[in-house]
Amino acid sequence: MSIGAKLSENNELLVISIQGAFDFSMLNDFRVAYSTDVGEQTKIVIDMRDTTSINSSALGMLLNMQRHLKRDDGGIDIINSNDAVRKVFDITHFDKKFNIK
Amino acid sequence: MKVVKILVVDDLPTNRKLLRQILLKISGFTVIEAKDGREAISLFNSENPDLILMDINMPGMGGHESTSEIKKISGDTYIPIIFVTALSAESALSDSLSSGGDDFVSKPFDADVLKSKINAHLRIRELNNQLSLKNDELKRMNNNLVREQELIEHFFNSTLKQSFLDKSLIDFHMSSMSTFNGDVFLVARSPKGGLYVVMGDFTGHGLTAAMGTIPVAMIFFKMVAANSAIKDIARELNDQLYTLMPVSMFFAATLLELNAQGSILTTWMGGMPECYLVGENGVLKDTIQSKHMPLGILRDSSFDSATEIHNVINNDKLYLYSDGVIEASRPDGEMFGSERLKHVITSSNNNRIEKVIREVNEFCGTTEQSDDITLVELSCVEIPRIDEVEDAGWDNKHTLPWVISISLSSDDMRNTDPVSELSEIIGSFPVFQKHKGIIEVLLYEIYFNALDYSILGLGDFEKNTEEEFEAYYALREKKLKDLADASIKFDLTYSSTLGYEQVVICIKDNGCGYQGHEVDMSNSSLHGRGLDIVNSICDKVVFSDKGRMLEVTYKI
Repeated sequence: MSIGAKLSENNELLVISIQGAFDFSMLNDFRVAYSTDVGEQTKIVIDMRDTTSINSSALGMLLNMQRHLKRDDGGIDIINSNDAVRKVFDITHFDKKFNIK
Repeated sequence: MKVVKILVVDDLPTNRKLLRQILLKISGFTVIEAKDGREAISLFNSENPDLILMDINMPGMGGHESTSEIKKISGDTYIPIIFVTALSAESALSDSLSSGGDDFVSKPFDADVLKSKINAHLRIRELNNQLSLKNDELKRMNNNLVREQELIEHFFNSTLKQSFLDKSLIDFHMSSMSTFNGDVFLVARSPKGGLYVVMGDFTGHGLTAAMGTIPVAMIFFKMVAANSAIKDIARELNDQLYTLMPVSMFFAATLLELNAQGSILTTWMGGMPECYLVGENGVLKDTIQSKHMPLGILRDSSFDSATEIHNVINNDKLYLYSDGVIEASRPDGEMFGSERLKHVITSSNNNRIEKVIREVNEFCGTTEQSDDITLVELSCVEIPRIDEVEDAGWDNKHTLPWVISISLSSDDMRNTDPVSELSEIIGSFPVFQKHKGIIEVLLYEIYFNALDYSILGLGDFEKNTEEEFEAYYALREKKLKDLADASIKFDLTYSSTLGYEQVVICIKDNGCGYQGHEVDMSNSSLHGRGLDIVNSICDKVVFSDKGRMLEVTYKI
């Protein structure tokens, strides 16, 4: 269970990947991941290919990130989520706040 | 020593007797006799002699006719036929040779000359036999080789044909110096929609170089099917090739993933020439350089699987190529080079692959191709989805009912992760396999609700900002550390009667009870979302005992 962050050379793109069950035990790592040197133009993507599940604490962490980075609704992409994760996003209507693909 | 069998053909018994006497003085010979040409042919067939001494003039079939016939029968096997003649030397020689004979001896015989001639021809026969054995062996080996090559080709074709080569995404050219190719180019789609490419070049050419493509293809397709990340594929390929290949062999490769939306490119490059990202109107947007050693050189502990990411937009095109393209040489030795390649790519708008190959061929002129050449264009667009495959699920299978009870003490709450352990147990029942993720969420939310709000009494604390969030969890940790005499009990009951399959989860605690369950949770504040999720997932959600007990029903 860990969090990885990758920033492209020209700071155009930040990809944060989350491995395992996404919950508050990742609070600090997750904060560190998005507190890197991103500009207003940096595209932010959360890659959930290795995320097994997500819960309400993690949803709160996502909202905190959005607020911290001052992104509009839909300004952050979430990609590769599995069915269970996708269902939680659907139930909580997170597609109104994040660009879930 | 093998006994040499000599056939003596003469119509006069005295001549045959004379020859027999001479021959028997030479050790190792046995003698058989024929009285004319016809009998000679029949004895040749039945006795398989090693050498024939042939009289020329005999009643019935003569020596010349008989010789032609025997030579015809023996085919490629050398059977020496020496004419025994009283005729003058020159005409005897020319007649004997024209009828297929190999030599002649004149009467009267000189025993030593006869012996020398016989031995000389037997040596030729021996050499001839060895040669034809070798020939047979060569023929057999060649047949085996051809057959093996066909089989190997089958392996390659069936490994490589799994590639997903959609014309809207991929254009490519691949030419090899021999049937088998050291260049590898594979494309696959992951279940989550990403497009994966591996393009690379094994050291060497031909079959030895191509050997490595099979493990590469097998690992690649399998890992893509599991939605693996590029860094993990790179690591696995490196580790396997490091184990499999001789030290002198390695695999220079570019691995990449284009996400389903065609907006993010993730690359790992080891030992490959730079590749080009080209935007609209041929603008060179980015040159991506190789940052690593080729695969199969470093042991796993020293291997660096770090990938790079690149932001791409609709219709950006990426060009990958093997060094054969830029190292193609013209007669004076000058190479095509990356500048020429870049120029061709950026100075046109379509059919760039075709144009590059044409330029390379024109450049090389009459020079023979000295390396495998592969050139690939990847269009960064949305990837067509894989058609969903119906699961042969457990939907109609009856399974046994069960009950699981778990009681947690304060220590358990501090030190264990009951949610993931319980999810593992439930997920191991086949009927729950597809629901494991959702069950885990459900268990997490009701456990969190009982622990944080009823047991730890944290229900009044706000979690609206990052700071409050952190403070909340700091406080939670502290309270958890000091916790004593707490108890949470899970009862899970699975039943599958009347076509209904459901699990009822009951969670009881000895805390102060959850007070917030009547609060409106439809607003978008950060807390309360947990029970929102529970409400949406479950058919029935019932609190009792002043919020100390919660029973939820999840239908499958």
